[in-house]
Parts: sequence; C-alpha cells; structure tokens
Amino acid sequence: MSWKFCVGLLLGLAIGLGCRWLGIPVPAPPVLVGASLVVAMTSGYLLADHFIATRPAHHRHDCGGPSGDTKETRT
Amino acid sequence: MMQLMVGPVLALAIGAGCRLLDIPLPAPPKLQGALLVVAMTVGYLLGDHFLG
Repeated sequence: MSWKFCVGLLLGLAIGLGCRWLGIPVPAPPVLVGASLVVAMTSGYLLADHFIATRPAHHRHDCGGPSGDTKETRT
Repeated sequence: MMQLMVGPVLALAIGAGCRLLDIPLPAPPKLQGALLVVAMTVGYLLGDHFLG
C-alpha cells in the first residue's frame, strides 16, 4: 500500500466527516452496504477485464475492415 | 437477508456486463477509487456517530 493511497483514504475520511459536519450531501452512498456494492461493481469490472485479457481474439483475420474485405480476400 | 446476498451478485454482474459490453461503469473502474468511496462513507458514518 503506497503512501499516496493512504493519503487518499485519509482524504476520503475527511471528506465524509466534513460533509456530515457541514450538512451537505456526501459524494458516496451514505450507507455502508451501498459503498460495498460500488466495490462489488468495480470488482466485477476488473474480473471481466482480466477474463477478456486472457482470451485474445483468434479469428480477427476473418473479420471485415472498413471496406468489408477480410484479410483472406485482400491477399 | 436475501437482498444482502442478491445485491453483491447483481453488482458483480453489472460490473462484468459493463466491461463486456464496453459501456461506462457507474463506479470507479479502479479498486483504489472504489475503496475511496468506502472511505468517504465510513467518514460520513463516523461523523454521524460523533455528531448524532
């Protein structure tokens, strides 16, 4: 865990405290379950990103380009 | 209790679907950003505890 991330977490805590103290809306769900759902959405996004990165396209040469020609017809 | 189990699964599916369909995610796309959202919520709840 880098020091910048620690500073970010402290800043997030301070923003949440300040929003409650000043009575202004917090830019995050005010309930811990809602914040956990945000983390779950990000985790799903990262899992799908990892899934896509480990499966390269094997049939890219069959796909048409802007003209509709495939690599097979161009060569 | 059932909603607490369905919620995270639905949120995971929404995140995976946004990446697979290449549409914007209604959450930070990095885990550090999502943890900052949690930090803000924890700060808000701490302030609520101290002030209320």
